Order: sequence, then structure tokens, then C-alpha cells
Amino acid sequence: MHELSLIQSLLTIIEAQAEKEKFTRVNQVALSCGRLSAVEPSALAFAFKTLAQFGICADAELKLTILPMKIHCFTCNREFIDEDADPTSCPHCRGDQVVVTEGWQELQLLELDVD
Amino acid sequence: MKINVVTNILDANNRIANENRAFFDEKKVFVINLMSSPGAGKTSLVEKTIIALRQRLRIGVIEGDIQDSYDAERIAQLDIPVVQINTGGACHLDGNMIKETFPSFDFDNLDLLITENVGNLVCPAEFKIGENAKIMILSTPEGADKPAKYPLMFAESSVLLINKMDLAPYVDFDLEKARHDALAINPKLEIFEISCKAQTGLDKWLDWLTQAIETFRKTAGKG
Repeated sequence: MHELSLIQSLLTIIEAQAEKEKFTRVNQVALSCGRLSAVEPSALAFAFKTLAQFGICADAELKLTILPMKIHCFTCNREFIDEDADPTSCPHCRGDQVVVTEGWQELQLLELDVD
Repeated sequence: MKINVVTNILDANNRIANENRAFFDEKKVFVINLMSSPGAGKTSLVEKTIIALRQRLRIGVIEGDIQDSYDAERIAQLDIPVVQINTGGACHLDGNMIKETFPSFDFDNLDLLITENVGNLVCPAEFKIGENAKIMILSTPEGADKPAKYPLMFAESSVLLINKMDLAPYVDFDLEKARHDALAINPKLEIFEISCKAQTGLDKWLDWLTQAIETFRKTAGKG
């Protein structure tokens, strides 16, 4: 549900950019977030479609890149990227002394494609 | 044309939260953001905390709920200033909602502001409100798998209160797993096992809170 708030903030940022950079149409909005941030891609897409329909982003495509989670294992001392999103054990040695070092990144606007 | 604009989407909220934080610092008010899933015992913890500390500290409460003022009425019975925020569907409190409550409190006569967030184990963790500390509750009937399933809130919190410990034997709660997984996500997390109903383990939480407030007052310049 908080995806609506996030999209509202996003649209405010884009409108401010439009005023500054003098563009009137947005073709693509590129975003990124960590896989452990509490952002649900389909809810985000729905919120964007709903809230953007009457503004300069009405025809824009939303492109979301999900940044992987990184884990450090204290048992085998290795860093790894965990695609299965289990932050509690090491896929190499099955050790459970692990710490998540990346993957919490909040939603970020990266790039706009505009006319 | 491509425009490179790297910006955090939550910047606007973070800015308001930082303004709130500066205001609370100036007023020397310690603020906690209390989060958990619905029914974990947030309001019970608020009540127990008020009853234990009201002789020593001036306490105010913000109750966040989607609708209704049931929780605020419970707190008002304790004769404590309380403001109910009804989010009207939103799943979390944000910086601006907190800011809008400012006219309702006399911050010059307040030491501790307890903000009870909307019951939800996901979204509230994303939104800062200007708090000094995020405190979360996990209750034993929810199960020990919650840190692994909902890691963000555990990562963001300073304190984890494991509530309803009196029920643990009946709901097969694996305390060691919960502790272990929570600490794997956040090694700095302080974990206290409590039962609001049986009134056990609350002393350690209250000690932590009063200690944190004391430290805050020293650094914020209040004697």
C-alpha cells in the first residue's frame, strides 16, 4: 500500500524536474531499489499507472531494477549475492553466522527519458 | 533526451522527518516509533510503559490507526495527552502526519513522545518520522520465522521486544531461531523477552528506555 505514497513522491520530483529542465513529456522513468526494501514491483506499477495517468508521465514506461542482496559469512569469510533472499544462512558452508551488508536500498530515481 | 537525476524517492519524507527531529531536539523530547504487526501488543506496551514511568517522565502518545479511536481512548483513560491519527487507508505513519499533530501537544512540558505506528510489519519501516529510536514488537504466536520473512523492520529497529512470552510453550515458539535470525539481520539489535499480560521482563525494557532518554538529554543539553 505504501507504493502509492512512493509514486506520489516520485511524481512530485519529476514535476519539479520538468519545470527546471523544461520538458513536457516523459517516455521512461528508471528506478532502482534493494531487494530487501519493502517495495512490491507489481503494486508499484499499479500505483504508477493510476496516479500518473493525467500528468506528464501519462505515457511513460516504468523501469525498475532490483539490486541484489549481499551477505557476508563469518564462518567461511566469503561475500556472496543471495538470489533466494534468505538472509539467515550461507549458501556455501551453510553457516548461520551471516550479516546482510547490502539490499536495503530505498527506492531511487535514476534517470528520466524525456521530450 | 535522457536526464540523469539520481534522487531518493523518500527524500521529501526524510526532509520532513529531519525537520521534526530538529524540532524535538530543540524541545528536548525523546521520540520512539513503535512498530509491529496488528495484535502484537503495541497498545498494551504503551500502557505498561506509561504506568511504570509516569511519575518520572512527562509522556505524550500518538496513536496511528487506519480508522477508529479505540487505542487513543485506552490511553486517554490514563490521563495522558494523546492524539489519534487516522490514516484513512494508508498503511504507515509518515513525517508529515507527525508534523500535523504538533499544535495538539505542549512540547515544553513533555519528555517522551511514544508514537504507535499502524499495525503492519512491512511499510512503517520505510518511513522515518523524526524518531530517536525505532522499537518493534514480535509476539510469540506470530512465529519465529518473521525476522527472515520481514527483514527490513528488524534491520531498522534498535530494540526488539518479544512479547507474549507466557504463550510461548503453547504456540511452539522457537525463541532461539527468532533471536538468531534477528541478530543475523541486525547484530546491534537489543532483544528483550517480555509479557505485558504476565508483567514479566518489562524492567529490562524500561531500563533501556530510561537510559536512552538520559543519554539523549545529556547530548541534547538538558540537565
